[in-house]
Amino acid sequence: MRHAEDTPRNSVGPRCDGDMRLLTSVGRRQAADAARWFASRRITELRTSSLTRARQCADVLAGALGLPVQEDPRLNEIVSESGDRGLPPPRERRNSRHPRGVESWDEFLGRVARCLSDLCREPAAERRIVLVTHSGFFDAMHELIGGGGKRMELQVEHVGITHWQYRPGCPAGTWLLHRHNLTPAPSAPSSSAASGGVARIDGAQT
Amino acid sequence: MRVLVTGGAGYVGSFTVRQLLGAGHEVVVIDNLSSGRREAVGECPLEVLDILDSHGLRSVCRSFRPQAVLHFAALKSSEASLSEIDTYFRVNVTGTQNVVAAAAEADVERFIFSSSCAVYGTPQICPVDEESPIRPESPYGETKYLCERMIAAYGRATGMRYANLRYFNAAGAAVDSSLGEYTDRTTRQILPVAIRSVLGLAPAIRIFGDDYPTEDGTALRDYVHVEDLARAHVQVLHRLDRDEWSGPVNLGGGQPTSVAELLDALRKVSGHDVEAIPAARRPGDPAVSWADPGLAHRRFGWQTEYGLDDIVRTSWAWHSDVPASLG
Repeated sequence: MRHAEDTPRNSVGPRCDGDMRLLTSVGRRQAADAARWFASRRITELRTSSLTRARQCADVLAGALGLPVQEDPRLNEIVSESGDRGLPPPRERRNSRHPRGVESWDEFLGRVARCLSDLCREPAAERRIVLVTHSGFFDAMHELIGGGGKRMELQVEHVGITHWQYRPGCPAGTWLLHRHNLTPAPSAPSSSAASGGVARIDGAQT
Repeated sequence: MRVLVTGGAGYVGSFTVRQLLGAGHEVVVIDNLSSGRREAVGECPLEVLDILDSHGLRSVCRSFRPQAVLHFAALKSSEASLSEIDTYFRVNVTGTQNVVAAAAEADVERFIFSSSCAVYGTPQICPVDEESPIRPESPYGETKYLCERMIAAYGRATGMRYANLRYFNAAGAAVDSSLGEYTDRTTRQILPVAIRSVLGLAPAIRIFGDDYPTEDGTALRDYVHVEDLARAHVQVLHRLDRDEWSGPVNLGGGQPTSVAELLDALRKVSGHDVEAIPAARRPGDPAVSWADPGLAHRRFGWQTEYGLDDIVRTSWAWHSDVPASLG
């Protein structure tokens, strides 16, 4: 899941590394809606990027799901410490000719691959893991799974949920994409938290 | 079955020849003996021939009339391929084209090719299955993938069944030390290098990267015993005509082993300390690489019988008994 809405990048002063960006009031409501959506889905693990906007979001989920939050910096957004000025777009950072503290796309792919490899190391039907991460992670994961390159970019809204199932040995495909960029619908006063399945889906309909 | 084996005097090739003979096949080996050894094939007929000699290959095919070809002959160093790119493309790609063309001309029914996990490159989500993205990093990996595609094209054009066997990290030796790998002093394979150090033939080994994001900081690899690899070739050969299937197959144990774990196993088996010095990571070395070998099991009934301790124990015994194998 992508983190919820956060303060705009330029509103937090000269530091643009993202770690100062906090959830807005809308973002906190989005996180609560997402927590309700996950509540009936037997989630077993909750992991988050170490960046504040993701961590805040994960804390909301943790409270609703009764799970501890495991922080994993490998879920962080591609690193662009120098404020992005003069940097090529993330996917064009193909080599090491970039300032110190900035990740190339290949380095970022490597980090995402190591994170996912760890998760795949002990596959089990009962494991249902929520990763609270950032939009770049979705593109990297898609590229790693499907081999697609820069030709496709994925739209991911705040609290957009993409559901992948890892099925080693399945002849139909090792990875099954259940849904992409599902954003849990805001709760209405009369709706039940247990309904859970109410959602707006941008993209593949399940 | 009449089986022609190129590179049959080399490491994996010689173990496979032995198992093919044990299974009752009639085998002829082609090898230029540039790295292979005549004694590795025993009494099996050997044609000393280079795979760049297309006329020679056709002549052998005409006289032997093989029903299957197992093609091992190749250069196999990712690192060397960077500085010897012309040679790697000529030997691996042109050589393979000569072999597969001769096979097609001789109406060979089954073709098994020694490919490599190098076709996957990095980064990858591990375990890697056969449908994972292909992005080789070295010229060596590129040659293997080009060969795979070329063999597939011949297969489609002629009806020849094929399997492109993607090896992970081949290691180990015969349990009775009767057969094993001969390396030279340029080898980068961790096990022979470490054994050479333990035997006092080389200084402390260098571990390239102890700061990987793994449990002990060293890279994870998938070691598979050479006897298991050889048996895979025989099983694939026997079952290749089922279901009209052809394609790539991973041959790995499916278990990641860190470099530090491998050295610990060597300490235990040898009873000696293994002095290791951390060094910088090598460009292009993946942090983690291990196989999903499920397809080989489902389609060919193959799974490994030897574990890490067997790999280390047989390697240690072989290189200790035959120091010349360390160059």
